[in-house]
Amino acid sequence: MKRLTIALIIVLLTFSLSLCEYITMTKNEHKFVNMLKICEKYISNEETKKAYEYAENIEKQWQKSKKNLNIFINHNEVDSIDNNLKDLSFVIKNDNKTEALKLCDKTKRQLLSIKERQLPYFRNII
Amino acid sequence: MHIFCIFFLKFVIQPSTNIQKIPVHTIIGDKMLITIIRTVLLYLFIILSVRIMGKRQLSDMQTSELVITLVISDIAAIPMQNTEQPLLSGMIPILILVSLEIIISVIMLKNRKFRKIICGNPVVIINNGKILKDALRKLRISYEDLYSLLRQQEIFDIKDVRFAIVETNGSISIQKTEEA
Repeated sequence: MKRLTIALIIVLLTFSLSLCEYITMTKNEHKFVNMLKICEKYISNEETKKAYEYAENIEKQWQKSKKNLNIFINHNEVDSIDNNLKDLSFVIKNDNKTEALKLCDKTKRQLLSIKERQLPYFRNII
Repeated sequence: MHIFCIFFLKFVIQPSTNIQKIPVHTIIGDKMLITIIRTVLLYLFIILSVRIMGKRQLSDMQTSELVITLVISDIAAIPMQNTEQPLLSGMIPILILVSLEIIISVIMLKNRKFRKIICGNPVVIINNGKILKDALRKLRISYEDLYSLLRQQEIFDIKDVRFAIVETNGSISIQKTEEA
């Protein structure tokens, strides 16, 4: 019976870990997608200085969140988003509007795809 | 290994090449250290898991238990080699397998029908010195395999066997005749 209790505790622990993963991922995805949308607006309105500052802020925020995300997500994916955000500031600074919008969209898609893959849908299970 | 690589780069390669300009850790790769730490962690984790599963797991394995042991070792190997994968993604399936194994073994202990479904029944293959062909065919055991198993039990004549039973874990229990 003692072992059964340990087993049930382990099951609870794993479920709470997966819940924690889901919450972390959803929260971060929501936060960064929204931030990227705002950055996209600045780029479209040709407010380069504001867009650059905002992109730098996104990068800083990402560096903070990255530590938690690395626990749950494949490190390659985190690094890929990291590189995109670094490129974004550089591209905005160089006034390359098309490339900046492309990078924003790409990063948003990546974030959404990571979140989508975490959800317990039938297509993800299979 | 890490120390050896540093020594090798510093004293063997460096004097003859321009490698001294490149930081040593970038040549060796930090991942080697991560792999070592991960391997130690997973080793401790697996030992803990096997201890939680209990001694039965090690001594008298049923088919399902053998499968779980193999799967656990396979799962653990992936995050050990691939440092890009979070350690947690290897640990969670192991934890789930360990808990399932414990829960199923407790249910098997309480419910005979469930035990039959999971483990099957013991099958008699020799009755009073006669080989039961149908039982052998069902178990897909050839005569050669049977004779080999008997020889391992120091039985060289089939007439010396009163009963031979294939247990649910695949081992054979033999009752010899009084003359033998």
